[in-house]
Amino acid sequence: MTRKTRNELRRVLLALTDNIPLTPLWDALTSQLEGSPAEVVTVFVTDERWRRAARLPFTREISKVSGSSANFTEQRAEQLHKEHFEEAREKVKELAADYELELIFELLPETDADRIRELVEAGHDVLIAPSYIATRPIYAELTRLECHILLVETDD
Amino acid sequence: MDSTAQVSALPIDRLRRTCKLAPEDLDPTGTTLLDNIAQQRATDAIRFGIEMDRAGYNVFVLGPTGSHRHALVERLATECAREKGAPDDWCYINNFKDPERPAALRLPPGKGAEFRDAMRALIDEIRVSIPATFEGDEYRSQLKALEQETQSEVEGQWQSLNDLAAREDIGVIQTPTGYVLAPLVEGKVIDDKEFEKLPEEKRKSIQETIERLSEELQARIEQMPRLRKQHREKVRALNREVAAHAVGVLLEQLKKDYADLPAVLRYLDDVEKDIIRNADEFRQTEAPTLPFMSGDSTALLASYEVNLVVSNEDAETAPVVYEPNPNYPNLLGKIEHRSEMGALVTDFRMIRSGVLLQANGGYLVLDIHRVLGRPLVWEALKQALFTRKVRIESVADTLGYTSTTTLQPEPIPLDVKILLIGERWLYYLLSAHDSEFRELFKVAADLDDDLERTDDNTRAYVRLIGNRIAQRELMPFSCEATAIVVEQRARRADDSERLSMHMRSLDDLLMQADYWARQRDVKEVAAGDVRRALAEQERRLNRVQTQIVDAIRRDTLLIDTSGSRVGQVNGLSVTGLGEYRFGHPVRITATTRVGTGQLVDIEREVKLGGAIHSKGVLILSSALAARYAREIPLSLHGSIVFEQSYGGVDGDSASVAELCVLLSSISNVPIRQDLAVTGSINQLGRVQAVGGINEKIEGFFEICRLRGLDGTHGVVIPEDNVKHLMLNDDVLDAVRDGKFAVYAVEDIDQALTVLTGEPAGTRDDEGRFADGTVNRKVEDQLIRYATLRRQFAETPDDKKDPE
Repeated sequence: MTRKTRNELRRVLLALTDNIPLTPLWDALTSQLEGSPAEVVTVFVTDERWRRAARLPFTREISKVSGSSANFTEQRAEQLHKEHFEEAREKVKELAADYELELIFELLPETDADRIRELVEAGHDVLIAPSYIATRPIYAELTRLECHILLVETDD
Repeated sequence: MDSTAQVSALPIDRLRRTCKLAPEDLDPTGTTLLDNIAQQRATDAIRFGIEMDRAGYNVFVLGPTGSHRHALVERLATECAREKGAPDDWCYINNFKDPERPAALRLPPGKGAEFRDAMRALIDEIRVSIPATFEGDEYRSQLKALEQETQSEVEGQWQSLNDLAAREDIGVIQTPTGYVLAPLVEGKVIDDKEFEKLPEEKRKSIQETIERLSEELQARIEQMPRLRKQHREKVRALNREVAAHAVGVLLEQLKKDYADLPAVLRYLDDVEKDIIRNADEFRQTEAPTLPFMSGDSTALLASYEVNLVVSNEDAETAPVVYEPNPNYPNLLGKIEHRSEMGALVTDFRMIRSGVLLQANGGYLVLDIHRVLGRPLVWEALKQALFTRKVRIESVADTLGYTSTTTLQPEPIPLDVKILLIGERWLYYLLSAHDSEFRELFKVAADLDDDLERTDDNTRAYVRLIGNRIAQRELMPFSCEATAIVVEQRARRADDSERLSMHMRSLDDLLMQADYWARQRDVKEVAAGDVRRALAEQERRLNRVQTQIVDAIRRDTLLIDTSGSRVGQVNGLSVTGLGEYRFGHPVRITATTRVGTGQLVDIEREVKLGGAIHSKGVLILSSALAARYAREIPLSLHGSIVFEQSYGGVDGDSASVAELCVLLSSISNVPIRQDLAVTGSINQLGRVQAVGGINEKIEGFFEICRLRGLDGTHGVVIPEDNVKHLMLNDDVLDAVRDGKFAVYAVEDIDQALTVLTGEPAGTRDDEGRFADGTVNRKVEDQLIRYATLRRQFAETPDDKKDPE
């Protein structure tokens, strides 16, 4: 098997956010690649509102199942981010098992301006993100990427 | 007959009643049946029992094995069954209210299978058409509309909350597990430091707003399950509506087909309701979780199947069923189980009927010894007859040992006539010890063992033989062969004036004669073939007889067949080994002396004598005293014994021989050893008939023949036994040649006259026997014993001889 050089590989930026189902995004990605090898950088964009809300002394999280409430602290917000990141990473690995892909994962706070800049400066062929991201501040930064942006409806 | 007269030997025509047949006597059509010529009493009883339509009038047919009881009973039952017509079919169906108690469904004959097949077809239709309905555009459209309706309501709830919060500058932020409410400033969540800078009053106001909105949020979250439930109910109602329409169409024709059967219509209504109630099941299309587990609606559809347990689809008459193995499941039915994940499970489809249900509306023939020999069956049969219902349950249930899931099927009404077949002793035993038996089996049909041998009956019997020859596809029998068969049937009946009705032994003889004829490669069974069959039958079974004869021939068993002896006589004994009987002589001896009137039966003393034998000895003791010692004390001590007899002795057929040998011993008159004697005696000296007379005569004849017949040999028998004589050809030939004789006697004097060759003697006007007669010698000796005894009693003790 001949491996393509780094320059020959397609480079895809896959942006994930909380509460978004992965499958539609992955389908869009595989459709774009059409079976060709690629480097996929999966960026898990954290919702900074969680952290800000968690810093407020009175914030409580109300369970969507039972309606009961509990303190929503910074530790809780951090824990949720990590859990979601790990879950998304495992899922992406599972989905990528049948493809010739190089996977890179990154947890990206919306407020990390330096890292966003680095991503923007790095060359990518395509950015795949949920349409929901267009409502978030980070979207303005991402639009500066010199690549094709594909927003996917996720119905959530 | 004058007792003092010389007793003559019987003429040859009294030794066997022969049968003469002409060709026209034989039955070429083979249509004569057993009960056309006999068994009228039993036949009438069976017909009465069968036709008597009242509780408890079941029939017990009494008769020995081999009397073709089954053929007779089944033929009579079949005749009556033709008049009754086929009974109803029975099915077990699911009880939708209580599946552990399956319901019984009665259908006209033949309709059971039709209904079962119709329900199978319905199930196949349901399996396809109802899921197809759920896959259809119309249903999908309605379902989508419901989902959108619910979705709109949910979204409306959230949107109104979001709007409310936005107006208060509060953001509703979604986390993976819930919601967080946070104050906004210019659309962003306020920073904690900025929040601290806000006036106290503002902070408090924000917190109060958030608390209020939180309560609102909680209220809406709590509404979500209700909204989801409402949605599910709407979907379910839609499913029911769709299923009702679909199943209604499918059941429409079926309901028309069974419009005249209300029970079926009720069941179809139940099926319809159940399908509608479980409409959701038909939408599930996922594969089973595990290979052996039924998936989607399979189990549900199975509950609409029909378990046909009694089908009279092809029957035109009431059933006549014979069950050769009436164990509990075969009789009552059973509930089978299947293994699922290590557990035994069952349902109404696994109910199996027994012969009680198969024979319902008709006749069930059972062998009583088989019923009684199988655990629980007799009690279960009685219970079914008493309750007039068949309750199918497992044996474990009956015993209360069930530890797995089982069923309690609805009992099925029972209307069956039981025809039990058994030996007489079983009938009498049950009659004596089982009061319920008498209530349930009120009709006894007692089969005759034999038939009077009149000319008409003989001709009918010959036709019966022809019938059985035809039925078994045997070669034709010649007139002479058939005549020998008839004579053998009289021999089998132990009576020259009767014919045995034991059909199995008749069939055996016919088939074996046919076999020997075929060995000769001929087209007709001849007399010789019948004789060969009889001889071979005997030869196969006569090993013990041969040994005894050999022991006598070699003087191991001591039997004299010539000369005369005092106190010794040849008695005659019969030994039965299964169905084979043979006779042989046995030496009986007696000794006498002065005594106190005691007669010792040595067999009884050592407990080798049976009760009847002991009775015989006591009778002869009484007869002795009555004849010779009416006015003097019987001062005799006598003992009698069967020499070289090491097994038990029973019966009183030797009592004539015993009295004769005793008198010989008393009188010192020798008894002829070239004769043997049999017969029982009563207290008045009358000689009475005994059993096995032919075998006894032939047994002694055989010994004499081996030693050489000299014209003196013979047998003394009771006159009452002459009608039983059916002696074999060898004996008849010897009698014809004057080498053997049979003497028939009526009383003890005649027996004494023949056995001693001296006149027995009768009392004269003065009450004394004539000089020189046996009786006179007996009486004189007894007087002598009495005198000696008196003299001995008068002698002073110190002068008595110690001996």
